Amino acid sequence: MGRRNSSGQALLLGVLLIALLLLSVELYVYEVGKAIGEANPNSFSDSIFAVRLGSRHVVVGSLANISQGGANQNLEINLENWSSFVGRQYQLGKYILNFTSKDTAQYSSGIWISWGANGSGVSGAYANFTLKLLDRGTEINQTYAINVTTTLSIHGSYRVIGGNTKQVNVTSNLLNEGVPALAKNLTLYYNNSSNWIVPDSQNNYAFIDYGNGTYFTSFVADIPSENIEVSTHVFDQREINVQANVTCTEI
Amino acid sequence: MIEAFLAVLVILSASVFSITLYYPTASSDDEKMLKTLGMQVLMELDNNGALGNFIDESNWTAVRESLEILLPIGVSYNVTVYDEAMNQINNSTMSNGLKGQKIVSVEYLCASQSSEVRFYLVRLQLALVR
Repeated sequence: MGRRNSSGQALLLGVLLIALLLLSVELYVYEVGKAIGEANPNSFSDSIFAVRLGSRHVVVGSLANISQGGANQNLEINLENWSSFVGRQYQLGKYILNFTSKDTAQYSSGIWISWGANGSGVSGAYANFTLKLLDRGTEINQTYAINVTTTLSIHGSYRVIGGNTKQVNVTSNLLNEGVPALAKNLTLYYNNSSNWIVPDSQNNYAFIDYGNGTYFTSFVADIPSENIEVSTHVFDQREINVQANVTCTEI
Repeated sequence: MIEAFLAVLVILSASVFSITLYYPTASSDDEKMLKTLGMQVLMELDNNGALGNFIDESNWTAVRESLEILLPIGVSYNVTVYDEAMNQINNSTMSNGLKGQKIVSVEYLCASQSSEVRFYLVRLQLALVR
């Protein structure tokens, strides 16, 4: 009788152990499956792309600010704030975003503003980023660079109509990251006895937008000097300001 | 006899419990699809900085109209926008009446492209209307 009881208890214990083993295996498989389901590669890549896109907007916005008179340090301040904001989010794990702004001969604190008198003007910003995404058992590292450059090149020529009256033609070309881009606003100035004047309808001012980043402007003015200096100020579609000056050649 | 009955009971209970642990793949596929869709739609809207500009201008109508163009028919949504301090800033509802058995939430970090850079968290909730 005693032997029967103990074999029954052993059977029960064995069954309990097998059931526990089965359940623990199933629980493990369930948890692993859930983690994989939650953290699919698409989510990671979309999330990284979104942070990258935001970084680009910060660089563009900072350059717009600096090109309109803001301090060069605004780029680093804004990027610092962006890194901190990103670091406080935990959608898919812990984000760690670091950046370094470019400092070379042309760039200072990641900013390159060169509005020359040789017909060329550049407003640019450059920063390198490293983004780390840490999740349960997952670590993704992504490095990328954001380069935002608005370039303006202008060519001017003039012909004497009579006396001091001259007809001036100026062609402007605008580029965003080396690709022709549209201007949001373009203003032409000419120098007359050290005064920078905006030509208007009284100067027979003509403006042609070719729709491909090329703009033609023409005006007639009484300018005693033979050195006709013109200056073009442009805001691109991203509100980045760029300027260029040139001395027109006589034709 | 009673031990055998208990053993069968234990095995049956374990089987029943393991069935409830079954990971619902079909529903999870819908969730994944909705999350991907939500992220793609927000990235599309933010690609040229439009999303940040709409929020800067508190142009909630533009956000709602853009989402209604980009989201497919049969998907209901609700959007909430938070500032850096996580205060809700949209003062009007941006939704087509969120309804569905399973609601997923996508959180998108947005930086405005304006010269005064601002940061937002956009929470897009989506559900399949069946």
